[in-house]
Amino acid sequence: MMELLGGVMAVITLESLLAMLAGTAAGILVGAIPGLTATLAMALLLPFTYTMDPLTSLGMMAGIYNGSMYGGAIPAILMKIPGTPSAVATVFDGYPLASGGRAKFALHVALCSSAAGSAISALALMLLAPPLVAFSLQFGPIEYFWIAIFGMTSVSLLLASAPAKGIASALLGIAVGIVGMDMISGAERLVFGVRHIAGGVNIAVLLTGLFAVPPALAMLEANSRRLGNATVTGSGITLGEALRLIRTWLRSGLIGVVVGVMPGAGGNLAGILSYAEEKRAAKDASRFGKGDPRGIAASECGNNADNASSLIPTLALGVPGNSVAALMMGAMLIQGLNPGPALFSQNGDVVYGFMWQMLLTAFMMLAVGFAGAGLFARMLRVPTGLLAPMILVVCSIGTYAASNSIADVWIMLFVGVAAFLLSRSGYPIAPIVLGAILGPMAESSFRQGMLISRGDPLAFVSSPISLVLITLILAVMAFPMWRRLRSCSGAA
Amino acid sequence: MDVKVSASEQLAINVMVAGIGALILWDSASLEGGSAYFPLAVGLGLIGMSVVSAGYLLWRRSGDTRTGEATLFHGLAGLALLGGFVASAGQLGFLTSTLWFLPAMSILGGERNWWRVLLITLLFTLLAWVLFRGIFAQTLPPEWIFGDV
Repeated sequence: MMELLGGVMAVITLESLLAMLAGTAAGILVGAIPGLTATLAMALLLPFTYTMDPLTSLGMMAGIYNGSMYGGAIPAILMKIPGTPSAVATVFDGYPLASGGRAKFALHVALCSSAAGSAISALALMLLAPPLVAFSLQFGPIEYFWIAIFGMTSVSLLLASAPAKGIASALLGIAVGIVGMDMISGAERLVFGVRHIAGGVNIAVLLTGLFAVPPALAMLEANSRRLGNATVTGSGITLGEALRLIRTWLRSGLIGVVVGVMPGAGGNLAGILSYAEEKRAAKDASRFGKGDPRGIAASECGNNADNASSLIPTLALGVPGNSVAALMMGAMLIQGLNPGPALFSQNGDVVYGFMWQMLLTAFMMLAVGFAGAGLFARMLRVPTGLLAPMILVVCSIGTYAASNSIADVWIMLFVGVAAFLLSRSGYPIAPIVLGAILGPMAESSFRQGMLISRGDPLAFVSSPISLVLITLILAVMAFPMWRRLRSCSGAA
Repeated sequence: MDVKVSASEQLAINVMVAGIGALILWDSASLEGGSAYFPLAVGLGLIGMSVVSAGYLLWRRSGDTRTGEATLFHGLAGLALLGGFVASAGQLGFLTSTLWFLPAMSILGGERNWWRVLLITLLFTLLAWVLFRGIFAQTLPPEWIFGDV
């Protein structure tokens, strides 16, 4: 409890508060432009965080993460185009309300629900991460090996349309992760004579190439179209109308938190599940899809409640469950912070401060969202053909700034080429990052486990925790087969 | 905006992934003991997964799919321009290179309002100069037009 309170003091500084505010505004702006996502904004920011204080960079990241989830609702409501994949279910009731002249009310419902979801999620992070850390103290290298394998397997199998491509993506990530000198034997691996990567591939360079280059190229397809002149019409939400949504927020918040903890799931699943559950629980479900505010509230609260909770396994175990969590972990690694149990004991002020930042940015989102509704709607007019080169210039300068080396910019370009070609052919990108982060962790844990057990492979299946993790891995591996069988039987 | 990805392109990418696996196997042949375990497993795994993906593609016959990524033309042309920008940034500087890169990419993206392109290019370059020199105090390669930044 004292550590949690200590975290508040660490974040109440002018620099941290300004970083959170700027991050929240930037997140809403980015989310409001279809095609731009939180991962892209965070990947762009990442190389610039080297010189920042840890809580300044993490505060900005927290703001972008929470803000972009709400930002995605703006074009979903005004234009029937989800700004981010998480806002798909917001379209169902948001657009009918907006086209009926109540756009401002719909935006306010989305904003309040997003803030409620983010706050519930941040509280879940504060309550659940410390007990998980205490439990994880029982883990040895063998358990960490299985956790790393579970993280990679679940994300690669749940995100990919074809399981083989998901696993191949994770393997490519592991290959990138083990580039450089082997810390145990001193042997150079996968360097191929390129001296610049003898120390490994810079994580910021990898993340920028993977998450910023392909979306920027995809924006070229929009042919510089302006999405339209959306206007914010009607009156806003009243306190009484907001209070009537509390039950929806609690239900959707819980769903979002549970989905967030699961590796491989994401805000889009949380939003859709919350919407479906709200519709199922409603006595008058016929109003859903025709402009029922509970539909917007469920979707937006659900997708925002996924945010902080998805960081629970990242902070407690050092295992990111999705691409945004991997970016957050990348931001921490840049600062010399290694997520996991040791982080809580060695850098308690930073980790608890970050939890408070996730909570505070939820409230900042309310203030920024209410003040700038008109401005954010105007973002829909930005020609995407001009935005794409700006993104590429900023990510090139950012990559150069990370190490003052033009060689890193070439590596970013190389990663971008690979990411573009792979994602066109259905290879998911997130498992590459997870492989790059968890692969080295799995390898070092495996080799430590082999040393401790004196080469006995049975030691890897002897502890109850290992057996539970192996069962979970097998269940995740069986999931695509079960999904296929179910769709086949459904078609029959 | 979904675009089509042909089966032959997917097959070529599968071959590329298998090639990366073979390259990893070749590199790990010189490694000994524990250092070789993971590279060997990764190399073999990549080849195995590529064979499975390619086999499934051939078995399905009509393997054309759709993607939300850029078309092959836009993507490769964009990457070629980005390559030119990186090469030029090393010689002329990032901000000077922005003056040709931004209009070139905008044209590739379908922008035809020349005044808007010119105005936004100049404004963005100026803003980047203020941001990276004034606020971040970032050391960048020497600039052809802007001098040392």
